Amino acid sequence: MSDPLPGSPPLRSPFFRPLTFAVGIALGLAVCSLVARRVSHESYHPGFTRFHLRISPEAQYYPTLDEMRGIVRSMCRTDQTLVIVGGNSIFNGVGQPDGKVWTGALQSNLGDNFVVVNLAFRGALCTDGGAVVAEALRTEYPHLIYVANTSPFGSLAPFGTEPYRYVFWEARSRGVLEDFKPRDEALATFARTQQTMGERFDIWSRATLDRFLRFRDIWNYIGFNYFFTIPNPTTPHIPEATWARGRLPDIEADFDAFPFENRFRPEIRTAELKIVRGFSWSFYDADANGDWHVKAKALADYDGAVEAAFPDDLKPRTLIMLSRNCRLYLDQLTPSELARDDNAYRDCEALWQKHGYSCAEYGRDYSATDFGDRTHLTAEGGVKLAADVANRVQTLAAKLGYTTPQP
Amino acid sequence: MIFTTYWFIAFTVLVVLAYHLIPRPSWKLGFLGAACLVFHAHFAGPAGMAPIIVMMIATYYAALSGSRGLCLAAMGLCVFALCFYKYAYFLVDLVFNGWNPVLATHLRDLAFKASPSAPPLGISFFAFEFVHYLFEVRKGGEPIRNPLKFLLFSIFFPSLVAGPIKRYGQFLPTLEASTGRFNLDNLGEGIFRIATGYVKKVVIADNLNLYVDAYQPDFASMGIASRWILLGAIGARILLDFSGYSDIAIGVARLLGITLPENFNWPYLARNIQDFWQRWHISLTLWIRDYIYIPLGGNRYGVPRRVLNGLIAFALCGLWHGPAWHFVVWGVYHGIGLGVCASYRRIPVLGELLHTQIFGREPLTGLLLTQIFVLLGWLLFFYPVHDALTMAGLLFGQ
Repeated sequence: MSDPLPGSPPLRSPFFRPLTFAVGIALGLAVCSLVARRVSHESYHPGFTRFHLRISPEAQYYPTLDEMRGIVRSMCRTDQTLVIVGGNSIFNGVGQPDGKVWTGALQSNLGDNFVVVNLAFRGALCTDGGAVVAEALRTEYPHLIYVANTSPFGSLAPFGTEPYRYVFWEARSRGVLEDFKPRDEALATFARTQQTMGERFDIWSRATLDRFLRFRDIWNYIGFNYFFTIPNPTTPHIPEATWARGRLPDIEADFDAFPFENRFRPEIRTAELKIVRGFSWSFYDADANGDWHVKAKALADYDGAVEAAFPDDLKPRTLIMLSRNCRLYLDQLTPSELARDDNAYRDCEALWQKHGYSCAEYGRDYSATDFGDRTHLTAEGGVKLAADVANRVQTLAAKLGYTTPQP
Repeated sequence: MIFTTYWFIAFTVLVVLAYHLIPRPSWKLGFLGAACLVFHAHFAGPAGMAPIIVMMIATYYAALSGSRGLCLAAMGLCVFALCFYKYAYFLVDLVFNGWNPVLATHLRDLAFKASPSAPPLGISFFAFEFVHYLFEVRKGGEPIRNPLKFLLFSIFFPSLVAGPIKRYGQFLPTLEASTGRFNLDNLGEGIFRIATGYVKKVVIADNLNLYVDAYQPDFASMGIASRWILLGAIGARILLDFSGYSDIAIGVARLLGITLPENFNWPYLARNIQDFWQRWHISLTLWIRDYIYIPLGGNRYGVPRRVLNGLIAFALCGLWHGPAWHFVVWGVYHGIGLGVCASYRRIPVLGELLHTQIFGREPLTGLLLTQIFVLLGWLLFFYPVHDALTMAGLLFGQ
């Protein structure tokens, strides 16, 4: 027989004692957990505007629930009306540089009685990020309004989407979400059909462990204030990759810095027009007269998703804004296509309202130059959005009894 | 990334606790066998277990039969399964694409329909372990009669995913010894080894991976010093990633009281390329030596044959890492390095001069040259050959 392989030798070190080692690990974790609880309770984001690219999951920075709650608490007193903005990159303010973000204009429009906190993320659903924070703070802030954007018949998982779903799991494991049967049922279906047992176990374990150990919180605190170890597309090189993320400025590009023709180059226009043409196509059938009618299954599916999206307590406090595509593309649609799109907005608006939400569309009357691309707004477009949203927030606040209705 | 899932950690904790609480040795082994089956079924799925079950049964009975022919046939089955699941497309392209592309396409389609989307879990490791076992039994070694012990040798969960490649003559005694009294030292050492492995893998290697991915596209535009630093990061990444995995496997086995073979022994301190291969992926190197290099003739038929055997063995060693030409070239590169290392002293005058005056007097020179050789080799390991050669040229300012 061949020679035996060298086996792993016993560890013979005067410095190694198994029990001491185990106790050291346990003590270390306990200290980290205590520190994390202490530091995550208060905001360490001075002058917070939004989670820009370099402090977002795209840059390997995953804001935690407590971190976001800390930001809200540092900005808003409980006697003020808290307006949490969620949704995707449009509401995050992509294309609007720091200082020109639309939520700044929204804050100005609403005045000091309201505090606007932008917790929208690129590629997020209206049920992600800010939505979870709003639900977690629903009792702490009696005057709370959640505003988010989405598109008609768009993806609408009541527990958010990747890579932001971790916030939902965090909140769920900490018991700060409402018990809400439709969401639980959707979650059970999702777990049964989309996840393996191992994936479910890993999600549960991570959230449960984090509940006690707070490893995300302490890591974000260190990463934001002291040093980071992970490079990302915005800071691929040393030393920037190791800098505290709090040192990195918001480098969001300004659509206004690019001429209109560069923002809407012909090759982009063709591809984008295809998307605009196709978006409502799969949800509608035309009758003999050419009138469009929503497909029953599409409507039923969306109805279920809207019902499960937010718990009943949050529904009346939620304002959903349906995002329109840029006028440049809408003007190229045939009357029939435009009618189909209009139906989609009208039907979805009615559906959200049926379930107790406030809902409206925006962007139909904006000019092409208000858009930086097919969906995102320039700073000027952001000002228009802010005006639209402010009006609706004030109306909703009055309806909810937060403020006296304006004459 | 199986070792970095919570499922694996929880599974390990439960299995270790239960294993030490079970009073009877036979029950312990039965429990461990069942746990290994659960582990395999969880990560490979019931369908993914089929290949290993078939190979396990064939190997077990072939060895028990005592027939040299059956053992050889079972070895053939193991090698065929490895080739089919891991190298089908590569071999079809290699053999048929040149002279009959239509047939190659047809065979590729067939392979696509017949094979699962990914090779069976750990096939590179258990196929080699079966071949080793059959080879030794065929040479006169005692077969494993107890099916439970054979099952544990085949799918022992800590070493199933990433080795080390076990030897049954070494594994069985330590398995039997583990059923004895609980030893606190094993527990402490196991935890320490696992913690070391996770730090290597998750804290260092995974972060280095991000840096390497971020910097590598700019390789041509960065300064020479930065290029060498990046190369160092590539070298550190693979060592820490792989040895971290081995540490976790060895540590988990140690928690059960089982000693697995070492896989790494400070390879970047090697003073020559032979020394490097005695420190790098030791269980694979020794397998290649015992079951490819020596059966080919080893160093028994003169220097040219020895060099040729080394090249064949290392080309296969490279191919073992993946079905791509750059792995083969990496293997041949090391084969050449070993050949030069083993025979440079035969060069008249210069050879002896180099040995006595340079490497003998300044051991650091050997270490430095070896590491440069190894690091340059990692370019071939990670990148297509043309890209690797371009990058290597850039390291020297070309």
